[in-house]
Amino acid sequence: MSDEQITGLIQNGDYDAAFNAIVAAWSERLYWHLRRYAGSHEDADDLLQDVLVKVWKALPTFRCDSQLFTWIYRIATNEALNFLRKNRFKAMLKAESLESLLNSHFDDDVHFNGDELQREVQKAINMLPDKQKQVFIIRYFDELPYEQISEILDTSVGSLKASYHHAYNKVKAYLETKF
Amino acid sequence: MKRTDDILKDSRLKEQAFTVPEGYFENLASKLETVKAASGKTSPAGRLVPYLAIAASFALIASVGTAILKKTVHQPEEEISLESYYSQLVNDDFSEDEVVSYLLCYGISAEEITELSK
Repeated sequence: MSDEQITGLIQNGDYDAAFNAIVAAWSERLYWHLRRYAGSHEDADDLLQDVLVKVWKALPTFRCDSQLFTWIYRIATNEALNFLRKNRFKAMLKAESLESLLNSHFDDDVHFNGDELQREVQKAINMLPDKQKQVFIIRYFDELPYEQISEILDTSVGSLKASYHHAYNKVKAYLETKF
Repeated sequence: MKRTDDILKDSRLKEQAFTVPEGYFENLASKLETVKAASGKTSPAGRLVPYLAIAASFALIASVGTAILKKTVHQPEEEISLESYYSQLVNDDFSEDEVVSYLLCYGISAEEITELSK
């Protein structure tokens, strides 16, 4: 079902059908996006469920003049930020960094089948500050245009380009020390 | 030798490196039905449950001392302090009264809460 058709269901107040259509159309894409923030499948699964429950609860507040795509992505990126905040706090309690906490979950994850380069790029992402991480994931992996990212993150295109540039160079520099 | 190519242009990096358990996406919809039903019935007290560990941890942190923690924890660029975490709890999810009552219930002293809320 297209985003326009789903928006129509929301407009008609058919939230159950709209939600089922969102789950069918968006779950997989959201999961792969969120997986880049999470250390493991279990974390990504929790995060995805949190996002979809937020979507469900917020459906009646969806303004049909906004794009469904942007709206869902915004909820997902906000939840991803909350996930990072909560995990940073957990890491502080263990006197370790968020990066090492995420890396340890990632190292233990049996649902990773990439090669060493792919493993190291994920570790480089774990090292980035939250805002740079968001921009890097959306731009590099999801390949969204800056204008769309600007709507999702409510940040100017100029600022996004600067964040992406910093993130890109950090990830690249890290990988160059390994390969 | 320094690389001359851009390693981030390697096409392997855009390939999917993660997997999911078999049938994960197929079973997600039915799993969500349960979560969806439960989410509508959550009481205000229930909403605080996920923060149980965090609240209890305030006591631990207070006893160990923020100063020691700051010395031992790696400082990320956007490190969140306990004080700002407290602010986030208040701003994002709960009223200040809810957070304070909750922390008091779990043995955090009024003085410690006052310090966090400054």
